[in-house]
Amino acid sequence: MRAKHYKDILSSLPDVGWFEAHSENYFADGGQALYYLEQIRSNYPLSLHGVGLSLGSTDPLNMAHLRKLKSLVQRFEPGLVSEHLSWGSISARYLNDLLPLPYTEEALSHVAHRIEQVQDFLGRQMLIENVSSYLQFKQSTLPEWEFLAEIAARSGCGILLDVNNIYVSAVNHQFDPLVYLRAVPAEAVQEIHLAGFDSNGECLIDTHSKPICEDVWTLYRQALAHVGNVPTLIEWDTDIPEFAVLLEEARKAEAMLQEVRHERVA
Amino acid sequence: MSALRELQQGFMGAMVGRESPSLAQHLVGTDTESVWRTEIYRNNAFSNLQGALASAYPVMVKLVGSDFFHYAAKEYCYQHPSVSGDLHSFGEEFAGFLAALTSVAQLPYLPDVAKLEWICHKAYFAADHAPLPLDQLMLVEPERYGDLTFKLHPACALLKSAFPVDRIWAVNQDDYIGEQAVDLSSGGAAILVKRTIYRVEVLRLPRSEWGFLQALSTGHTFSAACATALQIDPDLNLGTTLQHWVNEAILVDFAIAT
Repeated sequence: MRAKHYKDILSSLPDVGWFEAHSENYFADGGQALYYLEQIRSNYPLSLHGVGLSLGSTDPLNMAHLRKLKSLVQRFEPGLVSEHLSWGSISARYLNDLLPLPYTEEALSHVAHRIEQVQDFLGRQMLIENVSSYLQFKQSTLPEWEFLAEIAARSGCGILLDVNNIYVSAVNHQFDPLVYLRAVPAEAVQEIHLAGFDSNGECLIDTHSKPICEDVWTLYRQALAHVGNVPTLIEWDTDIPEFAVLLEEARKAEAMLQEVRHERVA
Repeated sequence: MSALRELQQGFMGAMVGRESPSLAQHLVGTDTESVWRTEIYRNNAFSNLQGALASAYPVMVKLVGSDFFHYAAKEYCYQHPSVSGDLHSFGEEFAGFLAALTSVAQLPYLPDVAKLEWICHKAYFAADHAPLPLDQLMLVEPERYGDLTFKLHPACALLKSAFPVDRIWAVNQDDYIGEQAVDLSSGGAAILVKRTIYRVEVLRLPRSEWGFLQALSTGHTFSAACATALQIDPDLNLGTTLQHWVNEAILVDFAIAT
């Protein structure tokens, strides 16, 4: 959900299951963003998706940031609260980006511990999302999928599975996305993200600026077969189209979800 | 230091400076690959910060053009790295940065435009406040009126400029219709930025009223604020002025100074 759609959403109350908001877009003390979020929340379930907590950083947790998040969580009572398996700051300097971690034992225990701290502070479980990456660290001793599964097992967090990010990283680092998918603990996955990517000629880049490509839709079907019927969100937050275009993509995902529902019943 | 921390510090070092120390010893692949892989992250980080700056300073983008803004944003990032995970708080020092930027010295109004835009940006995120409790104000003994202090709405702010930056701001709003030209020699402006729930507004005030609100906003009593205002305009009707700014929800609370 983006500011440009507030009025469309509230005037038409579209038949969608829920909305997701970037937590940091509502860190305001007052004003229209919170006002509209309140209106939307009174009509729909909400998910809060953060990009700035820098979970993987070796700096101390940013408590000012975390307190803002907690007050949002208390005020809006979202169904899901999520953050990324990444880092974005060090020595109190921020890059405001989702930077990849080295997949080592050290990073594993560090990040799992940080997630536990955040969950304790918020008094609830959070979901952790896999990110796209454009490089791999030599230090890594585990594949990303094992790292992610182990993070969930150790911290008790849920997983926000970004199917597009798996695809982008699989192409960039030449692994089989199905190997990744099969290693994901199905019971931990509580939300799925889909998005469109771009290419810079050398590498796929997760830009959220395009429709979802056919390969990602295929991988999405395979993901649904693995994890079952899980709420799915289309991320499109660069070159944001009209709300109707987004709804069309959402309907496509919904149709696939329905297929899974029927297959499971049948 | 832990290996993770060392890696993160090295990585950050390759992201934020004008030069980008090689990360090749940490990355899978050839040296050439590590150069372009690092560059993707440098570009992403810069484009996120530049986007945040452009959305806080939309008028500035129009005034200097997107190419120059891009250059200025890059310089700004080198000098004032982001210190928050919330991108909305990035850009606070931009006015001071522009004031020191010699390549725009011939546009001396730019720093004040930036100050105005940052005030508007902050107003958007500021707290809401209930109107002033008039019934309680009525209970104050008239002889104590002089000792009243007032609180201004958290989303409002005052700015004085030697340039007509309110006009510059207004003609560069997307929904502005009318005369585009701004006469830079038309003199300065005393400005109040206010916000309703929906909209941030930029108002030019008579200097007496600006002085009155400025005095109150810095904690001076009603009588001191009146004295300031009357010095600027001896004919100002203080009763009407007070009532007006209460009605406009600019003065939102009061106390009696002891």
